Amino acid sequence: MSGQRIVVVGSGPSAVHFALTVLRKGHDVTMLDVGYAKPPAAAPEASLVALKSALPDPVEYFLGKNFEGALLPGAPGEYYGIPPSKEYVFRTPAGHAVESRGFAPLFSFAQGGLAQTWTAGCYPFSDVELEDFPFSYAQLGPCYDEVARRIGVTGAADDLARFFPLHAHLMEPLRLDRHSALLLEQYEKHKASLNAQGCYFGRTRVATLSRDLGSRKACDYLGRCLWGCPSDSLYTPALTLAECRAFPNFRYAGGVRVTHFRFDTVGRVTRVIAEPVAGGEPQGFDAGRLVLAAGALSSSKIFLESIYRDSGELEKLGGLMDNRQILVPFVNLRLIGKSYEPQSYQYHLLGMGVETGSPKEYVHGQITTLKTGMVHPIMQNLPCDLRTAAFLVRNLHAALGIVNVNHHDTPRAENYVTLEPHDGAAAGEKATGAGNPVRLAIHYSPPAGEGEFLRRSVGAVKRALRRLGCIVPPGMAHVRPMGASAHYAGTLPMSREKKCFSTSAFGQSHDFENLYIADGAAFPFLPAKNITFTLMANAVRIAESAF
Amino acid sequence: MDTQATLARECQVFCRYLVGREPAEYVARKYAEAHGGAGSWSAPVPFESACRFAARDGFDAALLGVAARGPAWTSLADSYASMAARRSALRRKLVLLAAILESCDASQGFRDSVDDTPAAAVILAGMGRGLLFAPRLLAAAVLFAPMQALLSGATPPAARASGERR
Repeated sequence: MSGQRIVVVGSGPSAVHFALTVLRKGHDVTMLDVGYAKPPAAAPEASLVALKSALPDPVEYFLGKNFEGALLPGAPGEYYGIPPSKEYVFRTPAGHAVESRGFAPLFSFAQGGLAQTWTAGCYPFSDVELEDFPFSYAQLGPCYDEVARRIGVTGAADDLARFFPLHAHLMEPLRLDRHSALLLEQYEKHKASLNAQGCYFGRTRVATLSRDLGSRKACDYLGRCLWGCPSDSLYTPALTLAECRAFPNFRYAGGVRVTHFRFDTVGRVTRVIAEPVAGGEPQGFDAGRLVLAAGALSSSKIFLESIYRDSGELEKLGGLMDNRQILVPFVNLRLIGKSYEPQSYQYHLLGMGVETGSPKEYVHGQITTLKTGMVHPIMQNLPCDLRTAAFLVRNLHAALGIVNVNHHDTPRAENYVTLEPHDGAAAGEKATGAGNPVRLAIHYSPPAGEGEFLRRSVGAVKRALRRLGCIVPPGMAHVRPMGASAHYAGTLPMSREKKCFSTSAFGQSHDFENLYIADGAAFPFLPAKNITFTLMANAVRIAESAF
Repeated sequence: MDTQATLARECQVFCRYLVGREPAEYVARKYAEAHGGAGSWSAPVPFESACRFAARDGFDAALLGVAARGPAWTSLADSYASMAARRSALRRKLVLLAAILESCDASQGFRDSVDDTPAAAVILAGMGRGLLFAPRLLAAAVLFAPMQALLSGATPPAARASGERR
């Protein structure tokens, strides 16, 4: 197709699905990306347990070269860490600087972005959750269908369908491990009373194949999900990036970090400026249309820095959102003393939804039963010596699980991103050259009454678990800091009315006419769900409708 | 930094405490490597990584010294540390060893899958261990609490020695 080149920034879920859609329509696309690459999988045929004898140095694989994977006492309070095999996802290039208050942001400069470490949850937004969006489910639904066809989503039409609309191309669910099967069986027995309390259980929707899809094989239950699926049955955006690279009209410019864009006097983006990660002079890329899809925080930084470099103004983008998450560990009394199943799907297979009175404020939990995860972080938290803790964990292993409870968020002006002068650059000073004159500053404070809302939701989760025959050890629930869920949204929201620092229904900026925002920055509301599936669907919708 | 001989001794004692057997050569090497030990297979870990296992005060060092005397002492010291010194060098070293053991071939026996056992038997065994833990903790408190009161915040002997050498 003739026309001007589209420049896409980033290679995460939004970027790659946007790019694939416009490439199929014949557009020329340049993707600018830092693009740290995923290392090849070690012994791809081996199960997690077999790796321990198959690898020459298994400790280096599991704990890392510098033993950074060993979670020692006093480490920040999570029950698991990112394994060394996924270190590439969080590697940061020189010049990346962030200051944050009340927020612990995650950034990725990897090919595929943060979703290279996701747990593959795919949850469509319902019509109610799309109320604040300038379009309805009827317009987004076909895009969910398309993304499901591309990536492969498994799930079932069960009780959770009241929270997640059903879409086409839903594969049959993955095989349940014994613990998950038991929980579901108990739910069926106590369904009436649980439903009366507003609690529903069912299968999570996950982008992991239960049957072959193209060159990707169905899940072979090696128990290696956390360390990186060696067979690519668990979808990651790097797979779609590889698909894009097969198009002759696609150019992947890796190894560069976009700092800003330049624009003319009528507000048209003319050029995108990027710094080579390896060092050297900044490079310029001509852009007919520019699509920011680097993730809500990085896209916001590029947007703000472009204004700053042009006018010297330090603007604010309000409305930053993220899902507050609480980890609730539990013990299933029926499985004490039972053997665990190392050859099984490691991530969540079950989910729960808790109604809170308002459909937009429903609470979503992902239930992960413990299979092959490392147990030393759990052992050290038990109030006894490690030998006794090892005995307890060995005998409780099959009975342990965790619910990751997600809560919705709404845009509020007091939560914003802005820029701060950095490395000696004074506020208002117009930066013209390369370097790093400003850094991203993130400000977040929780809403009033959050504590009470969280107490009620966790209380409901605990009551439901008790009904299923599980106990929640006192004091073990862990409130994750804001930013930990990495579901960032809201800083350049889609809006029905034309106003500054917002976009049209098709992601077109109201400030720069050939600029599009195709990632979470454009979401005006954040339900209690993993947003990745909707990021992908929305990017497809924008590409289909506006290009 | 700990000497090779000290690390080998620690690893041997702590492994016997955790799994009731001597460490495999690979386990002992990885344990030394984590502490920045010379003669490791790969490049030494950075100094900051190795420092994670250094004693931070006199009590930390004393607790470690007592624990390394033998598995029974380790049990006593760990019982106390599990309540009153969770971030001590001893706990860090034990958790490191646990992490190494669970990353190795299952034959090391640290977290082999259990055969299905009736829950009642597990609960009884757990209660038995709990009953043993209580007096052990009491004995440990009698021994270590005064030591902690005296030595907390004091410079550990290793740091003092290296300071004197400088």
